[in-house]
Amino acid sequence: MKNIYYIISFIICAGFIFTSCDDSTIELDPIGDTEAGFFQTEDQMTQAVLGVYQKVTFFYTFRGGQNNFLQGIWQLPSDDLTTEANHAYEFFSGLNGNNGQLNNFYRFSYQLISRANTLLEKIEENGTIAYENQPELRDYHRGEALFLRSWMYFRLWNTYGTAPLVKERIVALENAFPPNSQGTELLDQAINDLEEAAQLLPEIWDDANSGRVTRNSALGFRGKILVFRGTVAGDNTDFISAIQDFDAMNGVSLTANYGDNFNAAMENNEESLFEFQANNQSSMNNAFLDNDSFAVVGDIGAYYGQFARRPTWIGNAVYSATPSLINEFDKEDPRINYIFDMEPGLVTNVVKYIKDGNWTDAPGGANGSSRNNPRILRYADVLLLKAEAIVRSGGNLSDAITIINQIRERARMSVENGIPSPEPADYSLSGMDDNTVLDWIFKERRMELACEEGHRWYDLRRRHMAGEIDLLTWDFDSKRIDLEFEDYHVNFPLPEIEVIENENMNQNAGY
Amino acid sequence: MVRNIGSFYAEATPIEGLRLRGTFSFDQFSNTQQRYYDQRRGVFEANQGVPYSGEGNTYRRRINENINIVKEFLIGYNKAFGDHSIDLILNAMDQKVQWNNTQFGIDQNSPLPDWDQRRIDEGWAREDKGLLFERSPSGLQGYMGRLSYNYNSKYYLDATVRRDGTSKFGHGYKWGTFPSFGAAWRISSENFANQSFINDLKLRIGWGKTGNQETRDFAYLSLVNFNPVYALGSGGSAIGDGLIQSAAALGDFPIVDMSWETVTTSNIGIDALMFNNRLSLTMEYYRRYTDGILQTINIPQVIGALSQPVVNLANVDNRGFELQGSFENNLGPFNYSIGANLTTVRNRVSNLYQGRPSGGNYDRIEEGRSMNFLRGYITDGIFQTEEEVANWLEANDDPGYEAQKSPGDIRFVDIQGPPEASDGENAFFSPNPDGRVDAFDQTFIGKTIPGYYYGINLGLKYNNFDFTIDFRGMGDVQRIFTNGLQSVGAGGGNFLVDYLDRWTPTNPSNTIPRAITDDPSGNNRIADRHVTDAGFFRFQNFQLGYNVSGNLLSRLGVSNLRVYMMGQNLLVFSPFPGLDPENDTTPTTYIMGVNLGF
Repeated sequence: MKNIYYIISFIICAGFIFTSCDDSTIELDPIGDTEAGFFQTEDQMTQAVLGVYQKVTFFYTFRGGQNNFLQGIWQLPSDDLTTEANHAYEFFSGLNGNNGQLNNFYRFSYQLISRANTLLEKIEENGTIAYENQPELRDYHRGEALFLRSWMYFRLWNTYGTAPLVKERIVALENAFPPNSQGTELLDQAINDLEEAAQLLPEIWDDANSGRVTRNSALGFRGKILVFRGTVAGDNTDFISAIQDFDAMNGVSLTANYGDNFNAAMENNEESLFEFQANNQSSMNNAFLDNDSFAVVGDIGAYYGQFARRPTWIGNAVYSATPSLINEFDKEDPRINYIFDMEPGLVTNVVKYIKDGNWTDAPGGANGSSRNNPRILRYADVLLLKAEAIVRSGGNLSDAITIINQIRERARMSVENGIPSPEPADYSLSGMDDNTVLDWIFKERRMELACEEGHRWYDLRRRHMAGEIDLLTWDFDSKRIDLEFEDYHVNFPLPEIEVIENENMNQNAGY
Repeated sequence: MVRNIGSFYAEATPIEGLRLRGTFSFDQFSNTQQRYYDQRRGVFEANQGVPYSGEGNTYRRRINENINIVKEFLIGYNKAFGDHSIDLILNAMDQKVQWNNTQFGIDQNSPLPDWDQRRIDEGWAREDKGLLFERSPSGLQGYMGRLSYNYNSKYYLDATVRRDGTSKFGHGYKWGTFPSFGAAWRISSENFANQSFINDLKLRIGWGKTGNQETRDFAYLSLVNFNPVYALGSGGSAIGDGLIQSAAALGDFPIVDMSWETVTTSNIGIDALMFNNRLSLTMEYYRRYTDGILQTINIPQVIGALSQPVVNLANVDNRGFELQGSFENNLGPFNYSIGANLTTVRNRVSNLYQGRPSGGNYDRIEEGRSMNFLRGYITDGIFQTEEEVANWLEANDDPGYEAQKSPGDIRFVDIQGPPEASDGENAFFSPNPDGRVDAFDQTFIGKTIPGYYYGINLGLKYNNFDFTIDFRGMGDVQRIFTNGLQSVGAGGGNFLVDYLDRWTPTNPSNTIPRAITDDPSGNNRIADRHVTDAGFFRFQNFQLGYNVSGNLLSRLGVSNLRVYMMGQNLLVFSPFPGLDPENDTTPTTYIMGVNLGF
């Protein structure tokens, strides 16, 4: 009996030895995909492309607090919108490298760039295998990555001026300390990339994929960046190239009604070149969580609560149109109705994107998160840039004025009752000098593109840098008494932590 | 919540002195949460007042499971011959840990009226159903051998080798080897030391390595993040919504060569028992050297990562003395005891990963400092006049904080600047002021690791009464405490009465800055003025007991009956201005109790 006990014990013990020698306990694979096993098929590549687009979301969502949403960075500095809130880019004097929103803007920008760079790398590495079934997607995807990265370069240049140019995925820590970019380096790279993207991208996507960028998007955006570079660098060839790009576009036109551009039912229309595809599905949008960390609850909507005081507790972090902007318009300009609520004394007097509750979600939902797409690039912008390029390159002024009149005509037709408005009237085609026409163009840009994508600030900024206007004496029409603009404010401060930890990078002068 | 813990073993002794033992133990822990929200709950909510419209009821169930399975096999052998005796142990261990999280829910729009439905699938649209299943496995294997030898209870030697493998690290970095060695000499067993007042005297030395692998699972891998979604086209739940597509992104920046954190401990000590075992003394000098402490680091934002990589961040050197003594004696019918201990710690960080400091105001890690020290600005009181402000602004830049600088604001001191070539290769600041107040001017302002700990305990017995009392404390440690020191901003909350003493033109304070909304002058930046001494002396414990004895008890079958009263965390003496220098939420507890044994 005792022997049997020993034998059984020994067998059990031996069993433990046997199982313990198995390596499988520590040679574990994670649940889910790793980088090494991904980027192998068209579907996976498409997911990676959408992962780049998805990062655009972060620039437009609420982010859960009155000091968290980023739109103010491009909306507030100009003379169009103003606020009482302590948003330093409104009054400049409070700007420094510890600004939370500016630091987030920087972080998200490089996250998008990193995704684009990773995708470009994987297309090179795995392209032959991954696109076996649909080889045409390979070019499209590369074009999309280049486009989105260029969009980011453009935003970085307009925000910080000297943010580092990162063209390749960073995989070693020692390569993570790039120097500042110089001059228009960010724009130069974007212009090159978009030239290639325009050759790679499709003319059009099918309905299921609408919202993705096309050849027209790349051409229009390249021309835009060329005009920007031309303004600050003073190189005439940039304007000539820009006009060529604009002329190469086809199949785009102005919508019949100005308001169609801000109507949730008319997204990705004939005037649209690039939009953030905002969504607001029930049980999907949690405006306090981001869409990288949670599968089903992150925010994928566009925030307009700064125009509607949503949620109510954001207090004074609401943006109002300045009298200076409202007074720019002719009294009977129909565009007024699509941009402003003219009721006297209103603090929330901007209705673009949130006009009538039915365009959004009552309007903008409890948290101000909306399904209405921000129109990042549209044809009206491109047309006015073309007019500008014509004037700046010494072209025929009447061609430029014709374009302005085209914009103004559409504005006159944008009435709800069908009877065209007499205002804004056409400009006379002859007898004008360059500066007058340029002034008309910038006035038209200010009105047509009011309160959208920071167009006004970006225009003021480049013109100040070019010496055409002087922002030191500019009337910003701000609600802040501590507004104080100095030359160095054309470039906002880089995140202090990035500058301190990177010996190759310097803070922008002045900060 | 359900928990199963079990352990089985089988042991065999085939020959004298040899034993074989196999152990199998498991610990399964599961936590289930079920929720049901009635649409009508809105009636009872202060901000709602009416049922939620356009919603139905919601059901959710969440199950968290933790499974931990350990298998061990041990061979032990011991033998004594003459004055020699040896003990050998070989052990193999295999541990599997699995964590599962299962969630499903049906959100809103439910036509079913209450939770008591047997099947809750019917009646929901597909998009209202949510399901999530997450798993996370990890594993550990280890082999250990130990040989112990002693000669005549006089000399002791002990050698151990461990070899451990873990799933937490990548190929080629999974295994670590950890030897250790100990020796002791019982001096009191030697003839020359045979003094009557010494009962036991032992000198011991030890040296050994141990490994730590605790960190995030799969931190060495680049994982695909499938959380992102992006909508394209149209046809979503409302006009303007597209159809949601799944997207993917890489969010990790793995450092593939991360591996075991190794702790090397060396110590030398003397243990003594004297005067009929009444006095016991222990003295030890220790050194604990951690090589490659496992920690996440902040990486430059230009990398574009979502997660922080785990690296073997730094080496940390801890050293100090441990002293312990106790004395026990009788005084007539009284028996009393008194004990005390003291540990000193000197903590230094060296050999940072790529020479880069990390951490923020509360947990800074730099070469040559103690771990997780406090970092901030140096200040010099508060501006009292416009002239002082003007003079300061003449000499200093304070980007973003200058426009509204005025009397009542904190005067920060420019102490350092950006590194120059002359500061050496890995310098991250220059000791020369640069005329600007910025992050380069943040420096060491305090340490979070105490320089010493101590404890005192007293005991008293008299007949059936016993009484014990414990004190403990620590010193040479600081904390940041901002209450009552920041600029008072806009309203909306309660303020401390301390603010009545803030700076105003008629009340020139040098501690609390003026009241101003949004802190435009940056007065609230963490600085030396926030650092307070967090040392303390705590009345930790007391217990008073009485053991009832007597024939009556034994006749009732009661073997012991004890009545006691105790208190915990009773009083703390500390210069720290907050509630408690350690933890505000530790309660003071009084317990009265009866122990009954049969």
